[in-house]
Amino acid sequence: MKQNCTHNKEDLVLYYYNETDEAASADVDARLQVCQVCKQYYASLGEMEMVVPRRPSLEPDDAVMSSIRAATASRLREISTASRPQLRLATGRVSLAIFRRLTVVASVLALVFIGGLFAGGSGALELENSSDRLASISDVQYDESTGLINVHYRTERQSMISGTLGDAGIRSMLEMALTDESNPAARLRATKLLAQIDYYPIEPSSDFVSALEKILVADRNVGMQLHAVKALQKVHGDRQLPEYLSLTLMEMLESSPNSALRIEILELLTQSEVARQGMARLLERATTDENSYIRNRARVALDEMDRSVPLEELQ
Amino acid sequence: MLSGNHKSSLAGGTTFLLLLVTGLLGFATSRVAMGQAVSKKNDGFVVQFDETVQLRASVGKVLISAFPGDVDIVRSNNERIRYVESITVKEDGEEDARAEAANISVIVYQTRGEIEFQSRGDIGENRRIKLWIPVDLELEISNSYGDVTVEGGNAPVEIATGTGDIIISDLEGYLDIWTGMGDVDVRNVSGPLTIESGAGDVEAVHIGAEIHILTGAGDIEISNIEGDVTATTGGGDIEGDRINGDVDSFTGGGNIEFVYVKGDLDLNTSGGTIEFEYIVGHVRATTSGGDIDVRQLRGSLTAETMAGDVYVYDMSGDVKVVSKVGDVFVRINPDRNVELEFIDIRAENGDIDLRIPSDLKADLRIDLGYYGELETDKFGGHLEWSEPRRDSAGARIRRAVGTLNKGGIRIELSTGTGDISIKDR
Repeated sequence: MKQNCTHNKEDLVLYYYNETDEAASADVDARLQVCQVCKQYYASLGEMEMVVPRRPSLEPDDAVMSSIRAATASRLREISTASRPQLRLATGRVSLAIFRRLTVVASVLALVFIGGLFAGGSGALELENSSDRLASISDVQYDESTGLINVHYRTERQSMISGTLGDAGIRSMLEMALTDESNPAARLRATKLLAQIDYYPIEPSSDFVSALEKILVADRNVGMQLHAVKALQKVHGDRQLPEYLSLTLMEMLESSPNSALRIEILELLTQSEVARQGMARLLERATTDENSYIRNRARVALDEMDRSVPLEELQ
Repeated sequence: MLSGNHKSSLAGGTTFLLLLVTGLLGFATSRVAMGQAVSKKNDGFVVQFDETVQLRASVGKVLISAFPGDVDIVRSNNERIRYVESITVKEDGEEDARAEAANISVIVYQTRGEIEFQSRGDIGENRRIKLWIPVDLELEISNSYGDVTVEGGNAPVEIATGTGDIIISDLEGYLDIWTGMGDVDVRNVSGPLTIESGAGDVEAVHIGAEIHILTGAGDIEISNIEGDVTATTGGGDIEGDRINGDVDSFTGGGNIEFVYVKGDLDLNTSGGTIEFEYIVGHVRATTSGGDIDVRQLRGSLTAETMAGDVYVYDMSGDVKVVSKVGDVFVRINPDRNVELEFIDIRAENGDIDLRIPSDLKADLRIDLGYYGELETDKFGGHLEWSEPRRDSAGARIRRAVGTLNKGGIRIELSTGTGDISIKDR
């Protein structure tokens, strides 16, 4: 029996998921007969599968998920209440600090979550053994053919979990990606995914909205802001926007120098149920925007509004 | 008191003046009424005039002015112009409808060089006019609203319409279009072509010379263009296919896509994706917030995105890519006819994946974030890492300098938080 196993464990993972070719499968079969470490590792994959089934959904241990939900919700509430009263684009330090704090929390959450995954079928949190692991999300992908979201994350090695937006674990991973200030690439991936995915019949998480709003307000990269607005369009659909978010968007519509961002913001505001009087005033101002597309879109929206309720009644 | 001689000379002078004015300014010209039809429609009548005008030999241009409705032009080989105008009039009786329609129908003026069809007043409903015009006459149309259709002709055409769509086909000569709000569809025009629309989509197909398109709020779609292209939209998408000339395009918020272009491309969007494929020329692509996707480029590339991935599948020339957030993938296939002196890729927050031929000779410089990883295939050469240092933003970076196959072109790869991979293509 080999005590110090140096075998490649990735072969075992591929084998477990039936993704090895015939020759490799034969090698792994032979190895499992002689190497006790590999045999135990292979067995642990099955236990992990019980905690994190590949499809159709993730159902991690209740205790783990409760911890993640509680901590995430509390942190998102904290950053929301800390920044909303200002309703200013230049949140500067405050927002960055918020991001930093959130990053720490997100990393801890990841450790908790991933620690839970590696704890096997017991579902117990074994942070002592996983605290030295660096947890970060390296990629987020959406497979249109299967409808599955694949989240690639890195601990001691590269791993991946799959699921749908209905899975709490996937949502937690996405929230972590959206709020990780130290990882703009993961933020971009998660934001693009939220703009791409079809939510029906899943009710989108309000935490996504908070996280996206943070990107919109605090991220200085106009491209990231643009992706955040596109994601909000998808997340919100035609539902009524929260007032604080409407105000933020209206302010950005008038102040952002980027025409694409203003176009997408106007699209989001007009597709949502914003208070009509506020919207009429907003659209009036948008008819003088320097961008011809926005002027035209605002005029069309005003016409549509006028047909349903005469503008005089709104003014 | 005037004498008889004076009277005679005055009469002669008046006649002369009248002839002069007629010759210079033009008068309502004689029309041959071919028929007038009236039909009942809802609470009014549709009155239709069908008339023909004999042209002076000197006339080279047709003007249709201030027409408040649809204008339809077809070409003929006759020396006359036939036109059919229909006017919907809300009157109780047929005779009243005839009289009202006659009052507002077009008047035709003819001068030495031009013939003009001018509407009397912006009244009447559902007005339409169709004209059969000799194929070699220039055409100038201005209408306040309504669609304009022109088919055929081998002389220049100018169109200005307040609101309405414009459809042009099979024209030899330049074409100049302005519409306040409406779509434009142009096919088989020798060009050059200028289109300006306040708000509307523009489609141009089979144009034989340079084109300039500007729309305030619409999409632009062009294909089979033999000349340089300028395409600008306030916020729509721009698509081009099979263009033999340089392209300069900008959109305030849409996507840009070009395929099969022989010429240089300058593509700029304030926030959409940029895609191009099968290009022979140099490309500059800039987006504030989208991906850049390149396939089969024989030429150089300068690409920049604030937040998006850059994918370059098979190109042969110099590369300069900058991505603030997002991954970069570049595969180089050198072409002896295309200059390759440098590959410069910066992904501030993303991975870099470079695929090159294993025998490519290069001087290599790599800047990696402290936790970034470098993965390479086995290339002939060496790489030396220097001690970690801090960049201008204070972040810790590591630099490696070396050569591939004893050195050659300049390759510089830099990422702040991602990994770098250099592999055999």
